[in-house]
Amino acid sequence: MNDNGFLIAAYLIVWLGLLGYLGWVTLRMRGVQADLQAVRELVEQRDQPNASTPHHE
Amino acid sequence: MQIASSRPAQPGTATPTPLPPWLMPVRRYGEYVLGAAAALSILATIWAAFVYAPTDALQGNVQRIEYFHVPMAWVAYLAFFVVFVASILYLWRKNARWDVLARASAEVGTVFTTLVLITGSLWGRTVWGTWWQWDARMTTTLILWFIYVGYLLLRSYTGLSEGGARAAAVLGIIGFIDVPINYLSVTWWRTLHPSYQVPLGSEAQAPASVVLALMLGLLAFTLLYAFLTVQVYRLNKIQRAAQVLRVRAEME
Repeated sequence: MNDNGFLIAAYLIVWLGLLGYLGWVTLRMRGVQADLQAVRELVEQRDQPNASTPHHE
Repeated sequence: MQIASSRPAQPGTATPTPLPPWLMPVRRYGEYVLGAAAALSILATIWAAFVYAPTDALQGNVQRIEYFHVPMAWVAYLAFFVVFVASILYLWRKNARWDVLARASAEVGTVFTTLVLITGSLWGRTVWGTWWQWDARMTTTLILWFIYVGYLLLRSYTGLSEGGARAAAVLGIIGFIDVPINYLSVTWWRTLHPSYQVPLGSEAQAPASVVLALMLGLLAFTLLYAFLTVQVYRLNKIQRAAQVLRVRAEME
């Protein structure tokens, strides 16, 4: 590989690396948002029986 | 992202589980501006590195690696400084937001340190004829990388526990000692690694176009670091919010 080859390799590694990292962060973000949604559904399911019980004041 | 329901509580229903204020969703407009500024400054840096800056008389085109290698090293220092400060604040204030920030910054800093090691090795192969030298700067950079990979492994194994956060904060503080050692290694020891070439005093050592390209690189990578750290901070925050809600849902 000549000098220009090393230069191109370095730039490709930097940009592909950073783009790959950003993509990985995005995928993890989707995963935790799905997890959060699942927890919210869990909370709503837990609250459901309470809604049907008569409320006395 | 919506964590707590905004609907008014109906009689007989449980009220939405409140979260600590710092775990509540935030507006993202600032992030879009930050991302756009980072993208524009990166394009400007690529232009400056390949078009504006002159070709080095001795090293040729491979010297252009410097316009990314040096700013990434600076950003790694900045990232680990943020870990250091956030770790102190976490141990002092016991507020989990500092722990989340330290974790996010350590992750981004480790990514940049990895790229610094790779680009430095590619540059060294061309200029020195070798992929690696156990030179003071390179060795302390490798140690730095191991310290923060260790930090991330510790975080990964201990999860979001308080004990793990405390241990990581201590590591984040002690690990930062390597940053000034790494920075000063080129003056403390005889090394192959080039020392500072950007003029800081009266004696200019680098052409103005080279300094400008480097400064643009510093700006671009600092903005990119800020953008990435905000994304990872948000990611860790949502993770923590989900965990807090799950624990509360199971307890109530």
